[in-house]
Amino acid sequence: MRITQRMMTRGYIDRMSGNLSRLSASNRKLSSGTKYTRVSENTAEVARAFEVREKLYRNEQYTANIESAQGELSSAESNLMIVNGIMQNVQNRLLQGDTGTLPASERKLIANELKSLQQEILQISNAKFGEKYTFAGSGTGKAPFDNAGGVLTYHGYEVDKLEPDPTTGRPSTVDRTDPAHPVYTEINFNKDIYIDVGLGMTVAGSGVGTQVDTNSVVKLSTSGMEAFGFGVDPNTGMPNNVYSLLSKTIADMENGNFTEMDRDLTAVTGSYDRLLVGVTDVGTRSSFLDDTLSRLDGDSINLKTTQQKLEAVPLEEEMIYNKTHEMSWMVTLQLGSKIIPPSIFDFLR
Amino acid sequence: MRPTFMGFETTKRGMMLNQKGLDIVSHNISNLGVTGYTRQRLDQVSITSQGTQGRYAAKPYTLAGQGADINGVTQVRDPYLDKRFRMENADVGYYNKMTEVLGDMETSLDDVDSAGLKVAIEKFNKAISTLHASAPTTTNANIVLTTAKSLTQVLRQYDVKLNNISNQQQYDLEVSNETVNSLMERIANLNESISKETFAKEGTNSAYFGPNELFDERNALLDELSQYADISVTTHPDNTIDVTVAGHAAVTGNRATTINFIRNSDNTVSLAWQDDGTSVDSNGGIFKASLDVINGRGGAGKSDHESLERGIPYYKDQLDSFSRTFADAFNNTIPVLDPVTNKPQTDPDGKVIYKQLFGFEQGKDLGASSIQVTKDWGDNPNFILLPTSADGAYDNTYYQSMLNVFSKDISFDTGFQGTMEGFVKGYVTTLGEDKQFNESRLGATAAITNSLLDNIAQVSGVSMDEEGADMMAYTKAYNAMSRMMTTLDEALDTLINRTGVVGR
Repeated sequence: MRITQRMMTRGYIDRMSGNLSRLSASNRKLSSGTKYTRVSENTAEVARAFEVREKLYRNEQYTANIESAQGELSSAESNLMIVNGIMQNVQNRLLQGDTGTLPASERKLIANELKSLQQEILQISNAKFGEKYTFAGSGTGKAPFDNAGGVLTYHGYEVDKLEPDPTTGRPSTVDRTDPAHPVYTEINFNKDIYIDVGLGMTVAGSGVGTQVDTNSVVKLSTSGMEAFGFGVDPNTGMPNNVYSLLSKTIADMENGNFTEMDRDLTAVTGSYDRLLVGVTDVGTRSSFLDDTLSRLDGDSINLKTTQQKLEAVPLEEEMIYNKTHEMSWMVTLQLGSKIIPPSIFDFLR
Repeated sequence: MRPTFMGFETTKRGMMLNQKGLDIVSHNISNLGVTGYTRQRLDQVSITSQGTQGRYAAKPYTLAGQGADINGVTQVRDPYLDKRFRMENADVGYYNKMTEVLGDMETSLDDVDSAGLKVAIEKFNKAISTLHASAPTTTNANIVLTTAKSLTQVLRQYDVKLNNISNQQQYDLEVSNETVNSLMERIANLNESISKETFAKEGTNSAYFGPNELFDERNALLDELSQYADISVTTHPDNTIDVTVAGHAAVTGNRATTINFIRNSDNTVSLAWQDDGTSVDSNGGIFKASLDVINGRGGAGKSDHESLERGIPYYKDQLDSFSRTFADAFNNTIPVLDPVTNKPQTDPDGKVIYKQLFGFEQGKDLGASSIQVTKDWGDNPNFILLPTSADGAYDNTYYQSMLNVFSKDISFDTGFQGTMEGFVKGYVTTLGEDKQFNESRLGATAAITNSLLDNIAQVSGVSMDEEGADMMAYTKAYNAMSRMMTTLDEALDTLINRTGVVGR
């Protein structure tokens, strides 16, 4: 085989540029910390990395959703607790006033006290968290409760006249023009609002026909009707709503109607239960969110580890490669001075 | 009978021959670094003496010892290697061009290192998710609008970038075409010069000698030409060559045809032969690569000009399809409510009328180049907010419907079935795979051409040692011939001056 000058130079230049490009690729990896900057460098791995990035940003979003929901729910929870406390207070005052020995003026004082407690309940029912009214159901843009004219309304519906729809149990207006077939119409502004917290929200249909699978989401809204009650108890005829109940109690207290006051006391005690159910409901959702949040945190950590494996350069390993490339580059450069080897001409006299 | 002065002629020829040998050694060494230079060799022959066939018959040995003569100076070159190299070089040209263009596209549509379409979708998704999870405030609605706008801008930008690459490639192809025309012209001119310089050595039947340096020049032109298209070369006895480019006779003797660059009305380009108007249908090389990327519409090729490779039109089509499907999906999420009844409005067919969130510029094709946020929405971020439900209450069902667009499988009009992000992922990874494939093919073919170039260098390159050895041989021979001359001279001196002086 003939070895010619051109072969040697060609080979040298080829290997030199090969070495240099390996060195520069390794330098890029080290300085950027990422294994690749283009899909084509490792299509399969980049496709997986995209998947992970997608999951990560979804997780971030779920976490943000939960964090804002938690604030809302805990505000609802503490407000309900306060109302619960107020009702205990009401119970005590009722016990005080429910004796014939108390002079009418004293009862009057208690009634006044009850009035201010009632006012407090109304304020709490219209409590706001951020931009939204906490107990407004889906009508969060305006204060839900109003007692104009001494009649409590929820989004304009008279609370005591509402009845639960026998099938859904949701507060509805009733049309009894045909007594045999009453027509129930669910009140407006009282829809449930759900948020996506990464349970795999399943939605059927689109646009107007959208149906969300309630098991795949978490309920965010708290209905003032569910929390504070609506309509009248069909057995006792007592109003279910705490505010309305208080209105009746105050009137009975002022009038000294002891028979009624006994019934009021039972009803007030009963209202605890409903309030506590409300608190528990909110609390359950809130603690479910806590659990979900910690699950998401765990997921995020796992995802980040995977992302690290997929996208980040293993520094120690790459450093060794880098040193190797650098070494061969130096050797190549040194060889360069010998690329024109001695030939016969160096030995001719 | 031996002629008295015969030896002088022989010696003179020998001296001249060895001097010429030294000339060639010097020429070879001088050209050591000249690109495309082929090592030259002095063709020497021993002179045959004829005894019986002359006018006066003599014994065959009477005229023996005529020494050597120069037949000519030839190149040491292996035509088979040239042929192999040029075949492979067309592939290198093809894959190199493909890799370059796909690399450009990949950089323009990058989502790994910088924020591209995927990130824009992600931000839009996040904005809607926030709107869905928290209160329907103007702030949140505005973020949705802003992210939607930037998403449409990314799509339009992608389209513009792809157009720019396509224009650049069209320009490049035009330049390549001119280069090829000039290469063919120059080869024809060289054919002309070479045929005039070529001569046949007297007394040899088939050995033609020609201007070696012009051969080198022509070979270099052929090598260059071979990266544009598949070529084949036929050599004639007078050292002229015929070249076919992409199967079409391009250079015949001193005549070359030209290729015309044509822009077609359907936004494609083509190359056609000047002489018979047929299109240039190359199997490889830069020509095929350029046509593939400019005209490549994947499997959806509609006209004859379009190629079935995945070129720029394919990737543009995909973007267009995405834009249309995307707009359509979001334009079916938020209904228009009747101001009086607050119920979703329906058209005479009973279909719900939805708010149009995305639209396309009037008078343009529906696609990435014209997608935009509708004026209604663009002017008013709250367009998507109020009233959002039939009873006017806050109802995030419609936002759920918007969010659902991201997670549900959609049928795209390209035939793809899957989520939007899946589509984009598929889009960028297909491009990545195309680039990866071409890059690895480039590596493989380049390795082959490299080793062929090595082989060529091995055969045709200049070796210093070899030239040194030749130089010594020629020098020694020359010295010896000089000595021979002296010897002959002395012999004649003896004959002329010293012979017959007995008794003087």
